[in-house]
Amino acid sequence: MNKDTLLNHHLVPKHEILSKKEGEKILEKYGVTPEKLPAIKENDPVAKAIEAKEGQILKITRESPTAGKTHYYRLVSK
Amino acid sequence: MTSMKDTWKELEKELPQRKIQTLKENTKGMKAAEKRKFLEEKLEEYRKSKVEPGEPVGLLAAQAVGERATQMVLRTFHIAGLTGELSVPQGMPRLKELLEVRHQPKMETCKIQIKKELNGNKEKVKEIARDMEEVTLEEVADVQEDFNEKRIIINFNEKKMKKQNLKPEEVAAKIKDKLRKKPEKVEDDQAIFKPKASTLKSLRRYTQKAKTARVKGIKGIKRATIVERKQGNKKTYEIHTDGTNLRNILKLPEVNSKETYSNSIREVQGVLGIEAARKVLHLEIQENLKAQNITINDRHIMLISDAMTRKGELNAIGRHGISGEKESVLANASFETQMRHLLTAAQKGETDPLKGVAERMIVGEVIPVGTGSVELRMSNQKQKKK
Repeated sequence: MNKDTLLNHHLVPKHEILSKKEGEKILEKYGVTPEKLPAIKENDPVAKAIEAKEGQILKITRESPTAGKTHYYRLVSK
Repeated sequence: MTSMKDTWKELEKELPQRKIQTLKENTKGMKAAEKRKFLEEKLEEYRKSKVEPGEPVGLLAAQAVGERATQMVLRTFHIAGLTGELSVPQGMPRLKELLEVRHQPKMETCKIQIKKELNGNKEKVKEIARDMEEVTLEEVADVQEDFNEKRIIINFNEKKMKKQNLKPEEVAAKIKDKLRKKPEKVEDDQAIFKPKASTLKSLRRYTQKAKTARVKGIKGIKRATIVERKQGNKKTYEIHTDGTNLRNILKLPEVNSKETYSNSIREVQGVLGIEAARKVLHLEIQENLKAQNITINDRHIMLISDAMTRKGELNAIGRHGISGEKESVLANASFETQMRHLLTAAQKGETDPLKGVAERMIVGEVIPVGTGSVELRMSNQKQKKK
């Protein structure tokens, strides 16, 4: 499917790949090891579209009904 | 003294974006000192309302949904086909479907939005809907076997063909793909195929194949109906389908691919990814409950949908999903199919660290919830520093 169609769809929130440094910051903030983060598969359509590789952390900006914009993090895994 | 800007910045670190917005609106026109005091109080209030560490939120969510669901079983309305819209199973059956992530939900439907230029044009939308519906050869033609000559004779029904806007050549081409054989003859009202069939049985098989061959439409779309929506005094039309095929629907040029929606969580996961699936799961559960006049706090449902999508794929709630993946033997055995769990654990010689709630309850220990979740331990780091 077309990449733009996928990433602009109203159900798909914004996914960003975090740099190593940013990722470590997040892990420290929540006091967790990477495996404890929720996962996203490497072959997930969105992960594929933004070319995320295994081991990277994705920052997902969701529109939450209770809190407005919120951030969620997922670890790219096999 | 800090400036107002800095105060807001401080707040933004802790408060969610929406709270900040409403606070900004509500404090307009207040004096600076008054405002500061008000905001301070609000921040304190927010901190108090947060869930405390150790709170069994999963249990609360389960209770919140479970209690309402019991009521729902008793008073699910039964509506016999009304309005033009397609009926999706409601109430308890649907909720169960969603939480168990069934492979074949009763009614999968797509809500297709049409591009702005076209969505007011009823005729055009009707045409798009008609072109979408799956049509098999059987529906537009009479298919017969000629056992003597070992061939298949297709007699087109002119009226039906016209209604579906089909031409014999097009249909023949589709059948050719399916049977992997060129037609012997194609005429306006008839087409003849002679497949490589040595026995009568194989000829029958080819005929069945030809009968169910899709000659038009999108695979999986059994029916497409148009639904009128009123926006002010402007009428717009959208298409609701029976059966889904999001991937192919999004490819259509007339479709507003941004807003088109499917209620099949599995399909959305495959096409749009796990985050979109989570969103659909949340929307579907909430909508389903709303239709039954039940309100459950969004937070509970978000927690459930987050738990179900945690692994990057959809996990059902139940013994095959998130409840069955616990590490503890005793916890697994306390929920459905006890003997199987205990037997396999005994075979493999597994150990149970007794860390979870269920297993600790079984052996009579303090459960790791609330104050029970805290342990005192000497910090290694500090010792080293000394």
